[in-house]
Amino acid sequence: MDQQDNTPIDVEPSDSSSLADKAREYARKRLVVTWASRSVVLAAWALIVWGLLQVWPPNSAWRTELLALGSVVVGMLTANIRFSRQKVSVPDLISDDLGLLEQCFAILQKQVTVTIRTSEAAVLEMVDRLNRVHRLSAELQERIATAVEHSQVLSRSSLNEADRNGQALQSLTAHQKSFVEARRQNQDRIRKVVDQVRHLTPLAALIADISRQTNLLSINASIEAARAGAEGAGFKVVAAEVRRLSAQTSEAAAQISQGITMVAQAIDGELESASQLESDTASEQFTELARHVSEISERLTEVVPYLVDLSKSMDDGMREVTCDIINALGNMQFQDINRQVLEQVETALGSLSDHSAALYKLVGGKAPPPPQKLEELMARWTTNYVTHSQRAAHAEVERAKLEKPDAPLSKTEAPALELAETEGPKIELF
Amino acid sequence: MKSVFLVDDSTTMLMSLKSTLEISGYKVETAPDGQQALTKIKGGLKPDLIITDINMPHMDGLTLISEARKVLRFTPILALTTESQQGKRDEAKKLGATGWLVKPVSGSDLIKIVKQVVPGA
Repeated sequence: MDQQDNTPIDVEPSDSSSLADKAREYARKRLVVTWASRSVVLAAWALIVWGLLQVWPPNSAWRTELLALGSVVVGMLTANIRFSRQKVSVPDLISDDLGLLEQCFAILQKQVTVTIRTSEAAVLEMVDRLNRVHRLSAELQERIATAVEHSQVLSRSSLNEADRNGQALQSLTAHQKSFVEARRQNQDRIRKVVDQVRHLTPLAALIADISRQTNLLSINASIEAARAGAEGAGFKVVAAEVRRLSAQTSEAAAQISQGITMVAQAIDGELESASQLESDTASEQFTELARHVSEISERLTEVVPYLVDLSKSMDDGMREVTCDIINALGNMQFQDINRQVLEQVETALGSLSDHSAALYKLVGGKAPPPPQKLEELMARWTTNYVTHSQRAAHAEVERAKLEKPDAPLSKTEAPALELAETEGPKIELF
Repeated sequence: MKSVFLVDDSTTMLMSLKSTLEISGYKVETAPDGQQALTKIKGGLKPDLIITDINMPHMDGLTLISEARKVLRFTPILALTTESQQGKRDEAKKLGATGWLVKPVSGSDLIKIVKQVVPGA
C-alpha cells in the first residue's frame, strides 16, 4: 500500500505563499489521496467478492471462512492506509523540506539581523545613560566639593574668630580677677583707716574729760575771784571765759566723737555695699562665657577635619563610581563580539540556504549538483572565525563527533581543532 | 591632554571606548574603518596613541598598522580585536604594533595599558 503514497504532489515553493498556506494545501492533498486510495481498495475487494460468489458453489467447504478472512485482511490494509496517511515518501519529504529550507534560512537570517540591531541600539542607549550618570555625578561632586570648601573656609574663619574671642575673654577674666583683687586690697586698707578713725574716739573722750575738769577749774576760779572782791574782778572774767571755752571744748569733743562714729558707720556701709557688689557674678559670667567660646572653638575644630574627611570620602566614592562606569562601558564590548559572531551565523545561514536551494533543484532534476559539498562549506566557516569562542565551539562539536567511532571524519575537523588550541594571552604588549 | 585615535567599524565599540577614555581625561578622535583612519593620519592627525580593530571593511587593522607606521614612526599602536590567534599577533608585531588586546577588555585594564604605553599619560 505504500506505493499509493508515492503520488506526486506539487509543493513547489513560491514567494507569495506563506508556509502555513503550503502546509494546509499539502495536508488537503494528502487527505484526498488517502480517501481515494481507500475507496479504490474497497471497490476492488467488493468486485473480487462478487466474482467469487458467482463462480464459487454455495456449499463449498471454507467458502464463508475464506471470504471472511479476506475481508478482515482487506479491512486491516484499508485501516493501514488510514493510519499511514501522514506517512510521506522519503523523496517527497526531502524535496518538500528542501524547498522550504530557503524560507526557513531567510527567516533566521532576518531574526539574526534584528537581534544585532536591537542589541546595538540597547548598548548605545546604555552608553548614553552611563555618560549621563557620570556627568551628573561629576556635577554633583563639584557642587559638594564647592560647598565643602566654603564650609571649610567658614569653619576656619569661625574658629579663628572664636579663638580671638576666647583670648579676649581670657584677658577680660584676668583683668576682672586683678580688679577684684585690687578692690579687695582697697577695702582692706579702708577697713584699717576706719579702725584708725575709731581709735580717735577715746581721744575725743579725753578731750571731753579735760573740758569737764577745765569747767570745774573755771568754777573754782570764779568762786575764788568772787572771794577776792574787786581785785578778783579780772580773774572772774578769765574764769568765765575759761568755762565758756570748756563748754565749747566739750561740745567740740562730742561733735568729734559723733563725727568719728558717723564716718566709721558710713565707711562700713560703703564696705558692706562693696562686699555685696564683690559677690556679683561678673567674674563667673566671664568664666562661663569663656567656657562657651572654648566649646564652640572645640566644635569648630572637629568640624574642619570632618569636612576634610567628607571631601575625601566624596572623592573616593566618585572614583569608585567612575571606575564602575568605565568597567560597565568596557562590558559593552560584548555587543561587538556577539555582532561579529551573529553576522557570521547570518552568512553561514545564507550559504546553507543557497546549498539547500541547490539540493532542492538537484532532487527535482532541475539543476546539477551544488558546486561544493557541505563539508567544504563548513571548512570555509572555520577560516572566517574571529573569536576563540567560535573555534572552541566548533572544536567541541568535532571532538564529540570524533568520540563516536562510527561517525565519519570531516576533512575540516583537524584544522579547526588546531585553530582552537592556538589561543594567545588576552593582553600582550610587544 | 593626551589624545587617542580610535578605529573600529562597530558604533558601540567606538561609543563605549570614547566614553571610557574621555571620562579618564583623554581627548578622543574616531574613524569607522582603516581607510578613513589613514586619510586622517595623512591629513595631519598626530594622536598620542592609536587603538584599532583588526577586522574592518575597506581596510583592515593590519594594513592600517603597516601604513600608519610609515607616517607615525613612534606613535604607539594597540590592536583591540576579537582575534586571539598567535599568527595574527605575530604579523601585527612585525608590522609595528605596540600591543594586542583581545575583546572584551575591562575599562580599568584598558586605562592601565594606555597609561603604560603613552608617555606622561
